[in-house]
Amino acid sequence: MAANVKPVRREAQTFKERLFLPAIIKGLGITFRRIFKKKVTMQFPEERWEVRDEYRGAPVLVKDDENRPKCVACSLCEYVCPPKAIYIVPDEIEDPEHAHVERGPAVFNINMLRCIFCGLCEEACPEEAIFMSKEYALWGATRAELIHDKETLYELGGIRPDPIKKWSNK
Amino acid sequence: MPTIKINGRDLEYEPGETVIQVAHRNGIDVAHYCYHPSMSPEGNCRICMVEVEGWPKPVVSCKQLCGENMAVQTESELAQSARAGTMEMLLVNHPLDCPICDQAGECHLQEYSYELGHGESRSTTPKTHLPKNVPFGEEIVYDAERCIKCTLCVRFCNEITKTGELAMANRSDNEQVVMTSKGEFTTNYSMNIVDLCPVGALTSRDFRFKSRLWFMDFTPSLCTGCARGCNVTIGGRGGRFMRMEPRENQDVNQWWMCDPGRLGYGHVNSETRLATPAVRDANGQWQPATFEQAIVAASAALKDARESHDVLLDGGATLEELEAARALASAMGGQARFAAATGDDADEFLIVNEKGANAKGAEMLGLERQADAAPAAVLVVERDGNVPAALRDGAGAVVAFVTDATNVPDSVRVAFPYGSWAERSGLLVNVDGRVQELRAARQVGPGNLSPAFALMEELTGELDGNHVPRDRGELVAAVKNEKAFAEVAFPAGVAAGQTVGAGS
Repeated sequence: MAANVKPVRREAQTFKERLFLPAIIKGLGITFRRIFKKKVTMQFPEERWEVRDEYRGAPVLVKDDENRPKCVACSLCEYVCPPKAIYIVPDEIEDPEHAHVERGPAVFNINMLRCIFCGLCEEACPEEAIFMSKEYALWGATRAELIHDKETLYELGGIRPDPIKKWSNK
Repeated sequence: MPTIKINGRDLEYEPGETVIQVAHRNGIDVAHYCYHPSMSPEGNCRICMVEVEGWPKPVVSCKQLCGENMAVQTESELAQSARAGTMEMLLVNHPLDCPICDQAGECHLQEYSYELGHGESRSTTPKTHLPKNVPFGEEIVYDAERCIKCTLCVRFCNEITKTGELAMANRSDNEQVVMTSKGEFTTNYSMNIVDLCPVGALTSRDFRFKSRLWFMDFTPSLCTGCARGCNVTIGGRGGRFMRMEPRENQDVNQWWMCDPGRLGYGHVNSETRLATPAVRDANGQWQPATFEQAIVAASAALKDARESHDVLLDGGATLEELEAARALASAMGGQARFAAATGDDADEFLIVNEKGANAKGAEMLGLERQADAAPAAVLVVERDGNVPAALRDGAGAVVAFVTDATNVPDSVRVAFPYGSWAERSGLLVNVDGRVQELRAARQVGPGNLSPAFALMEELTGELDGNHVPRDRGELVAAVKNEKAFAEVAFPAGVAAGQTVGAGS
């Protein structure tokens, strides 16, 4: 045994402490007082925290007010993404009326298991098509469910008004 | 020889040479869009303007002939302001769609804009809108908004192919390239205008939107569509062959390549590529195997082979593979032969009738050319064109090196994956007897392929206990010792047995 061990003597409990009852009554007192105060527990997931505007939740794709996709599959977010969570297959839009829009994504996947919510994709996007939403409660029963495909991303993103109106303007 | 002073350096010139030619030859960078060394200078883009001391205005260096005692400044204040002004003018109507433009990353306009541009437009009038997505023939798409009207594509069709499919139409802001009454390209070299285009106005239907440039890896290699051996750059990404572009070699293909060659990579991206060795079990079912297991199984199968002891190779096989195949055939007591397609589409430019990329090399090594089905024990097949089904299935081979799993004949007991030309390194002899190096392209093919020559050498060692498997340098040295190759120059680097270019 090491030489510098210092034995500590524990003080014996008093009779009141050994009864335990006073401590129980004190604890119940705190509980009863709380019953009549304002509730602070949040009923998640029915109730959610209101997050601030600059909050970075799940990245989503948005459509303009004409319900047209804004993403042009330029792959800049795929390039800038640090954990390589984004996978895009660009495709041509075969529509002579909108020849000026030219391209959009055929496949757009974001692997939410990889995403680190850094927001660089939003920053890199030249078309303001990808945004960090306020969605923070992400769950899935399988890994595949947490790979958000194009449809999921558009559904989560919804419509975001855009003064440019790329599709109708030439 | 007379001399001209450029940026204070005295440089020699041949009478009749332009300032830009002398500058480029001496490593002085002069910005240019509409200038190409193979075509007549037009001087319409104005970006190559330089100052000549004592002259009142800047001149375009692509049209200005050199003169005795001329003193040219390419980086003076006047030259720089002339370039910046030209740049601003070119960008007045150029759409800012670099994020969706295929040229981004290799666009001269983008590069010089970054270098010389204002960053902001002073123009208050809206940009003109011109037709986009205009098909030029089947393989090319034209975007008139991005076009800077340098007319390189028009001059290419007039001066290089002399077919004249393109012309300039309209004036001023509405000026654009149009197809003449022909409506289709009559030349096999039309896609070169996509490479020529300094901006993204001409894009190839095949590569359009497939990948951004910065995701791809580029490897200098060769085209094996015919025996010309055009020098190319292969772009690959994630195991897929993305595109091929010509690489300048004045002795072979100058700056160009043909459209069939450029698009002839379908089998590289095939969904049915054989990626691992496979051995037939006792029930005749295919089982995946390691290379070591497959070598043992192949040597057993070859020892049992009675019908033939020959090796039949694809006409695109490299010199290293041919040399290894000769050793393998002699270990079995047979001989090596090759098969290659011949076409009838030769022209006076690049395409030749001989389609075996290394048929000349095989003939120089003394291999016999096979036209009709004949028995062989070992098959090496990359292209269906070179070794058609009749020859392939008619050989009754027991061991096969194949690129595509669907090309394995029923008689085969052991199949080895054989890289397509884009995944193999080796030497090819082109139709003129020039030895050129094929380099395995990065990010192309299933990966983890052992070179076929190494597998054949190991197989030979397995069959003949006295044979020590040779590496690539030793195989090249053995080829060099052949009488037919005594006078032939080999590419530098390969002489020392080095493997240039990374295998995928």
